[in-house]
Amino acid sequence: MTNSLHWTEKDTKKFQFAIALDFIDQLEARMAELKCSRSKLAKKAKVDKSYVSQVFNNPGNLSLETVVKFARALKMKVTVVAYDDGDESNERGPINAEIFRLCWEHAKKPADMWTFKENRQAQVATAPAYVYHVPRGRHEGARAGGRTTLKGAGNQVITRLGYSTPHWTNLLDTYIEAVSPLNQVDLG
Amino acid sequence: MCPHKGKNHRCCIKIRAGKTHARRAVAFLHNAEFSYVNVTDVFEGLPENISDTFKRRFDNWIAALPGSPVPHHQYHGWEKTDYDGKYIECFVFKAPGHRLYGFLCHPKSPGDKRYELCVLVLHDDKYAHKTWEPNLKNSKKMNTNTDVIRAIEVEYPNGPQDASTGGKKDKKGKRK
Repeated sequence: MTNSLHWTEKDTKKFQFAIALDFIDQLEARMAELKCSRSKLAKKAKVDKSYVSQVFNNPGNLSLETVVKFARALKMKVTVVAYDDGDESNERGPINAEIFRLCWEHAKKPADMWTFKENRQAQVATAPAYVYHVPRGRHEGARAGGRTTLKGAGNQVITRLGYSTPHWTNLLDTYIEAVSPLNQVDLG
Repeated sequence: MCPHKGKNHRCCIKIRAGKTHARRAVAFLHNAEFSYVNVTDVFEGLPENISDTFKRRFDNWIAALPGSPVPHHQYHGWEKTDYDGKYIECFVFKAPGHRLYGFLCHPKSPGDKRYELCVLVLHDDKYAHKTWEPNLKNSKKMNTNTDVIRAIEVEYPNGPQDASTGGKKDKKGKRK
């Protein structure tokens, strides 16, 4: 095993520990939000208080049953998500569950593919348009997701931010960092 | 002897997380001159669930955006309003009953000012709510220690870090 591999690649238990800890972190954030103590959680989940402490301090052996019990006790649902992040050898470790939660919330919490599609269309249609002034000497001839072509330095880039252009928004990040001071005009 | 390099280095750092990450990394400091610099030795002896918790905290800090809400139960720094702003460069990672203290620096500055390195200095048990100030003092002290600055430069040869100048160099390449 090379040094570049993530620590969770050492054995399955390490990987399991990392994702279980992410789940516990999510629970703790929710408990803070609801002002729910560990004792209250134990009561709601119908488990012993010492078991809650044990699991929170060492979540590696969390069973799916306990996961569901704790999530439901805090009025949440839980989903196991498998994904392919292109990191076959696991150099980066598991992606934090919070990323998935935030993306889902950002997509306005679709409950099915129909809602997902509708929300996405609505977001693209209503997204604000911005104009970015590209400084001279930067990004000449860059192409932005097939929507906008930069013909040369000193031009203005006008875009409407939306889900359909993820690689364009990535490119935009580069502009946001490159343009100083950033000249943004909301075109409505 | 330096446990990281296996040679007779008195002081060195070893990147423990984020080695290939573009924006952040976490390193452990070894400095034989100061007995309180214990992070390397203590970490290896921690219970597995605690060391794994720390490793996941490192992952999460590396993955987080600067300026995003900080999960204080996992890690945090100190604000200008804390301790009269004396420890704004200090940082802590948390696991139940354990703390790792260190400092943040920009080892690729001025080339890449955004790149952040958290150099962890010492471990302490933690059960009381309030931080024991000497841990912060000792961590801060390492940020300006010449041997430590040199050790960081060894690990980041293309971007010297200097606490007093923010890594700025004059035209001849000497530190201001």
